[in-house]
Amino acid sequence: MNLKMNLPALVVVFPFFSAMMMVAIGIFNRKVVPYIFQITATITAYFAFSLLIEVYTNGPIRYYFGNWIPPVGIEYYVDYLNILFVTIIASIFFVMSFYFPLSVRKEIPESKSYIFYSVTTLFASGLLGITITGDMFNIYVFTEISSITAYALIAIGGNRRSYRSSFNYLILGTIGASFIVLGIGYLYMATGTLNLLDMQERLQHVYNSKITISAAAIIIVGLSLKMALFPLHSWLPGAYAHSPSTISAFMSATSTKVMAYLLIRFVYTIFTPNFATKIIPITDIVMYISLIAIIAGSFLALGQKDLKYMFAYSSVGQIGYIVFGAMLINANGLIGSIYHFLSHAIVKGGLFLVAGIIFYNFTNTKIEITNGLFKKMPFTSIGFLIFALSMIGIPATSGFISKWYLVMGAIETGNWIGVTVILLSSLLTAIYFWRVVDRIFFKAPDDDVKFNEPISMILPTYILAGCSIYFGLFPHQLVNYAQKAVLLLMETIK
Amino acid sequence: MIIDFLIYKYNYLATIILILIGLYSVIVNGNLLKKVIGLNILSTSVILFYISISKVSGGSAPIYAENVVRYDNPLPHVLMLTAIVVGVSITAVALSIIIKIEETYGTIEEDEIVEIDQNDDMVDNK
Repeated sequence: MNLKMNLPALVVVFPFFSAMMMVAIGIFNRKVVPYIFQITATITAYFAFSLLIEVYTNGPIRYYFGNWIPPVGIEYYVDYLNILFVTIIASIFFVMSFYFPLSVRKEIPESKSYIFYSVTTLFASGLLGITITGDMFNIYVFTEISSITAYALIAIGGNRRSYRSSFNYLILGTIGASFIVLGIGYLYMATGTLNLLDMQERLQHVYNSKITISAAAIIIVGLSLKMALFPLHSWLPGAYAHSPSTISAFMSATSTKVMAYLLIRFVYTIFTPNFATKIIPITDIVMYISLIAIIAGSFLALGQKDLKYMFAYSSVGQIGYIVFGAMLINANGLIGSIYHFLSHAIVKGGLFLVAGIIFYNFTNTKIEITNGLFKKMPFTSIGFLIFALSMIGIPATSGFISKWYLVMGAIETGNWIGVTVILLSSLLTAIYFWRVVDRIFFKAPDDDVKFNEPISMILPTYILAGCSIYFGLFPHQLVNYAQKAVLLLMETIK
Repeated sequence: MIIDFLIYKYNYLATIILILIGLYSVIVNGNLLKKVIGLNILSTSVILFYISISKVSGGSAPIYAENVVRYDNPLPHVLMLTAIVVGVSITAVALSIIIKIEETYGTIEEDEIVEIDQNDDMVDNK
């Protein structure tokens, strides 16, 4: 048994089987399931980091299942791009796993808790599967694994609004997935293969075919629906606001971003930028939509009365940044996009963890209850402040670095509208976060009740806050990694 | 040309019509159960699309036999087995959520649910 050789499979398969085991064990003994959950998250993160080191020392890995050589067999393809995403998802999963037990005990009925842990693990393994696979149809199957578990996890939220939001997400998510699978069918028709790299090669000969053009259109619409790009975002606020706090934190950090990764994968690896620039301007169209998304998300967040709703609408704007950077077809823009994926996963995940601690004490997350929160919950408040600064993009936080690269990319391509929009949106972000910061730090509290801040909830929040500052102060290593990924993606332009 | 399209490529036409019927019933119907039925039509139409493109003209069923030169492409069939399973699971999750909505709201008509939620908001804001 060679552990190192089988890492790409283990990262996905290990949490998958562990999820099954949790149900089997949970039937007899519910108390051990949280520990199994934490061990699973730890080992998955360990696998992801060993894979990261492996890929950056020995180059991209092509892992053939059952030694069937593609295009016949199914392949897991790990290159410089998706290993970053795998590592981010696995480490967010690891950090948050310590936050789960207390919050779950508060929000989930005890009899359902072991199933909740199991479904969460399945959700994580679905997301890891999407990022790591090198086979088109696997992408669809893993998308559905992560989506179906997401519907169930949102519905477990407890109030009747969570059922309704879950149902909305189910309808729109399924339509999106059907579009994606229809588009994959078109591509299969045009090329006769489902392997990503094989398809990239064969697709070059049929760029002008109407099948390829309609496949591109259908897949991009499907992905936009799944990643909540602005006009198609209506499922997202409800889904984030009414799900359990742990799930809104984990989902906001990973699930829509994974779809943004798929967009990068489709535009750069499968269709290649040549197709986008020469045949139909998909990148330009999506770029302008993403600019509208950035502004609209920020404006919508401005008027919210609930913290979770505010964070959710701000997610709609932030996904715009990631898509904008990717659609510039410029090295710096793409680095900014990848960096923003990391930065936003850390920061938005952390913000929802803060909302979870507030929910733990107040059982709601209305903005008006945060008056004088600093006196009641000092650690939570400072955590919130760090994340808010990073969202705005103050220097020495990770948000600054990603916006720096995005603006550089926009200037290099002469996209002055983009530069204006990013700066304007930073201002709007500052306004809607400062509204809350002002209440927390400068308003007098309504009463003198002290609240407890459990260490197991504060610690994950501070680890994420620490990461945000660390990647703001020392961005070089990660930028180097991102640069390698970008070079690989840009090879196809020549 | 239209006649040619109708005769030789009617499967694409059928797929498009079914997808549009599915989307239409998801959008227009206020009843959540009918929305789920619309979703099922939508996903079934994709399945039919895959199956129809697997046909090779003059090919026989993809089972090994003597005296057969051409086989149909079996791969889309296998893919669609997975898609059918996915469709069934989505329907199951959707129906169980509908049951929960019926229990908590007392209705599965969307406009009534929206009204109930709006009344809740009014009470909250007072």
